[in-house]
Amino acid sequence: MSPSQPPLIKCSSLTRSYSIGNSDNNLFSLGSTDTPTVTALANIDLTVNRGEIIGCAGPSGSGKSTLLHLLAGLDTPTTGSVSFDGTQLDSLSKQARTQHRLDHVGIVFQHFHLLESLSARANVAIPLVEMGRPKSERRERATELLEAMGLGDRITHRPAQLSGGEQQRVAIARALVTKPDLVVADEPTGELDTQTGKQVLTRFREVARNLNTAVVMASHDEPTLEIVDRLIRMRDGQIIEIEQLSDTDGEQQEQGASDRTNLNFGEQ
Amino acid sequence: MGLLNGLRRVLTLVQLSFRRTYVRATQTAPGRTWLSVGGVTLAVGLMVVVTGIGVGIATQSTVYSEDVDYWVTPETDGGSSALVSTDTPQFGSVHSVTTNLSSQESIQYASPVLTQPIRIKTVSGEAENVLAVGVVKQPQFGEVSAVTTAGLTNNDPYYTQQTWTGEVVLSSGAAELLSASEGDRLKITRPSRAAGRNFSVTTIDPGTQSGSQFPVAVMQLSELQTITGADTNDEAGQIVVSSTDPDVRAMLADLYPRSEVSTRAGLNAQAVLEEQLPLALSVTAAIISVVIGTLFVMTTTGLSVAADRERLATLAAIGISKQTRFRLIAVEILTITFVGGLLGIGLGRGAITVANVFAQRTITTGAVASTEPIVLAFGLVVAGVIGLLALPYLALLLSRIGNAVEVTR
Repeated sequence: MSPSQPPLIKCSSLTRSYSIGNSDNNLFSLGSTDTPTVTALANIDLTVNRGEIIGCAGPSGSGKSTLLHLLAGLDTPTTGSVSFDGTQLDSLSKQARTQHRLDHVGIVFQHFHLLESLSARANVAIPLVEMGRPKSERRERATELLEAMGLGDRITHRPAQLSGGEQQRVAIARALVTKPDLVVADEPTGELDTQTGKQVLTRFREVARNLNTAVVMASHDEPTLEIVDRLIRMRDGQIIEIEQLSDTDGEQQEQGASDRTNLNFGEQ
Repeated sequence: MGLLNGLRRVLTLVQLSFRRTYVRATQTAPGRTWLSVGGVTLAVGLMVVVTGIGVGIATQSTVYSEDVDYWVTPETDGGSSALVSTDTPQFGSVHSVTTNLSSQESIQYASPVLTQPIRIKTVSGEAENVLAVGVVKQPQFGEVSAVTTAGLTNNDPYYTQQTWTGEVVLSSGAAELLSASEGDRLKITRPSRAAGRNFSVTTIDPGTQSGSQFPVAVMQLSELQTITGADTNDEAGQIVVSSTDPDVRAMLADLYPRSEVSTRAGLNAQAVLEEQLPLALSVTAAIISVVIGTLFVMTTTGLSVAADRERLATLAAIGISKQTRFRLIAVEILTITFVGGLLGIGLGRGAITVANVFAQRTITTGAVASTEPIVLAFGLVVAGVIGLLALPYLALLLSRIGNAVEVTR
């Protein structure tokens, strides 16, 4: 990352509360219409820089996933704001947020969620279909990314024919195919063995370094979080500690150097 | 450029959806996919059979059941039934006119039809009123007024060779009324001009046709003309023409001044009933098919979307718009209903064949259900309607299921 660049994301006083039960169903409500609320995230201030890897640690229910979803524009805060490269995400319509995610955000899930009927390449190319890119470009970029992920011989395989680690690498390729400014990953190694998990984390490091992409990942797993530049520890919807583990591409980057592949997508 | 991108996106989506549907049908979700196809197939098949029977009824005639395409009749403002048109203007020179018509390649045969009430008796029986129908028998002209013409000599010998045959074919109703059997001699007591003429029963119709219970006596045209006085101008009330050539109609219209050309249904004595019944049958069948098919498709779509809700939510999360997600599944639904429609047409066509074979062996001599291309095409239209009706439900489902926020749960 470059210290002179403005932050990619700036969160101010971010709070997200959920109502328990269906408060809209007033037809059958008797007595009080008040419904209990749960605050998943309370008063968070955070900046995310380009090329930086941020880890979110904390027990279940600490607000890690909620924070990731607000950063990605999957959800909107109850109060506070998320500014993404100057765009206030909380002021965007649902449709505009969907377009924003397509253009600027790559998302990796714990359970991969690939389309089972499509090949690995077709799964990776889906966002490019939405962008209306020509077939030749879609095939070229998807193939290039899958090869970079070490899946050059799995291009025409469907998800059911791939291992968990291979499926997760396909999901990462899908998240990167649009060259996003931000990649969010929710428990990306949760379903993977240790060795495969390390390979996946190496890919994230390469993405941050080579594409100047910000990566925010949530995990319970301490070894997974060792690669991050900054570690946010959360509990009960609040940030209790931020650890600065590396200012630059430091030790973690070197660990992955031997396994590095080219993720420049043809760019110089 | 934006338009090009949009078009490219839609085409790619359609391709993607076809591929997804194919893989689901053959590998990843064959049960659910073929259940949908089967539902539409059954619904469309049912509709095709019922509509085929309806059209079959509509194109049958109590006057003539098969292969008669046109009737030329004098222009009147009265009823249109050939059975009762005995007191209408008559055509003249009918033998030469129909001989000319029959010589044309596009016409299988043409015959004048003269209908007159006569009073007739067997040698030992009581005289009864029957409807005499005079025709020029030809090999392919097998039936008139639901009575066979078998037993009549071809080409009206009395007209061509002055050879009196006296051949009479009685309907089962006439035979019963007169207590006549084949070979019996008959005496026509009215008109009186028949005195001294010999007649005998050559054939008694087996009575398998609707309308054969009416007392009808089919005989040679020139002999009926002779005993009724219609021979002076070689008259007949109608001309029946069998042809598969649609251009014949215009030619027939110019045959006589102030004449009308009708198809079978147009001359049907029960035209009103028989045109409305098949329409009612077809409409009912179509409605039931659409309801059953739509419910099938909606149910399986609901199951499919519910099973795929995580993947749909993922698509939404990675920036795939609601329109794209809708199109992806909508194309799948339309593909399923199209395939179901095609299979349903095949099923219906097969069922019609079975129904016709069964009917011909048991209750009738002709086909009861039609396989007109329009009936089969109607099946495809109904399949399309089923697919289109399921789409609003899909839109409703997608507004509630598979939204991006669901990946947070």
